[in-house]
Amino acid sequence: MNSIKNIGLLYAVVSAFMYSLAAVIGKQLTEDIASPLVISSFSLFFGLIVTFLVMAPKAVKDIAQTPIKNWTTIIIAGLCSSCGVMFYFFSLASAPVVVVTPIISIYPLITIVLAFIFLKGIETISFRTILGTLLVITGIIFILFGNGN
Amino acid sequence: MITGILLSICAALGFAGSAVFIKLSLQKIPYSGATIMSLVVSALFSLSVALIMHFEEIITLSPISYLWFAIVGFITFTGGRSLQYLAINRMGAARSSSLVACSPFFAAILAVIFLGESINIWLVLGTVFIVSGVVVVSLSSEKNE
Repeated sequence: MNSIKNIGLLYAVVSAFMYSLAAVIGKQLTEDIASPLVISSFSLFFGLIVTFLVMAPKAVKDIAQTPIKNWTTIIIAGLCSSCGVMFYFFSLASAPVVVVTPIISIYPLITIVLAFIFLKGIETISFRTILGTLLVITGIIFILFGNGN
Repeated sequence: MITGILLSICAALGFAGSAVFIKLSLQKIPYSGATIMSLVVSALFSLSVALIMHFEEIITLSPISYLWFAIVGFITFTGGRSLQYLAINRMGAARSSSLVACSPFFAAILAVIFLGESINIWLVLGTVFIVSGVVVVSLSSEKNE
């Protein structure tokens, strides 16, 4: 049981490293190679190809069995994600990685707040959520202050 | 710099909005189908916007540029996301999210080494507070599950 968790821990840490590496390479690309919009669209395109190759057999079956009326929410999810990736590369082009990555990492917290507003009954706001929110807001104020210096 | 911070918040809002609608979608569509469909919509939308706004730039890009885009896509989606899902499978969503939320620390180290970016005490404190906040919220959601 412990070894399963340890492997999970390793996966999580390597995943965090990969996201950081992508941010650093992305920043360099916005400076040297192309505009943020071009980088975001093509990284999404290549990401889609890789993910499709991994998930294709099951995904195609799932999509074929899904009625078109159920596609609305997934289309909105895709559009939100697309805007997220585009803004991500635009922010990398306008600010250092050390500023952008901590601010973007607050998205799980925003997810909880949005889920509390839009998915009534699925998410609850606990004392820890409020504490976490306060910590994040303080952190953003520090980063803003740090950039003023 | 403030523009960059505002754009980062917009990006976080986009990712959060996507997570909420994915959660809604998963009540009607199985996981793999939802992942591929959301990625297809994302890629089609951003490619369309990029082609409209930067067509000239896109057709003049070198093959090496496309190779770099593929590397970023591969690192983000195969390296980052797939490993994150494997971690969720092994140790639960909350614990793995807490660890993945620590990526700004790795990013800061890599940015200082490879991009020559500088950090000050306020940036370090800000990063520590933000990561702590996300970890506290993640562990809180684990308790609720």
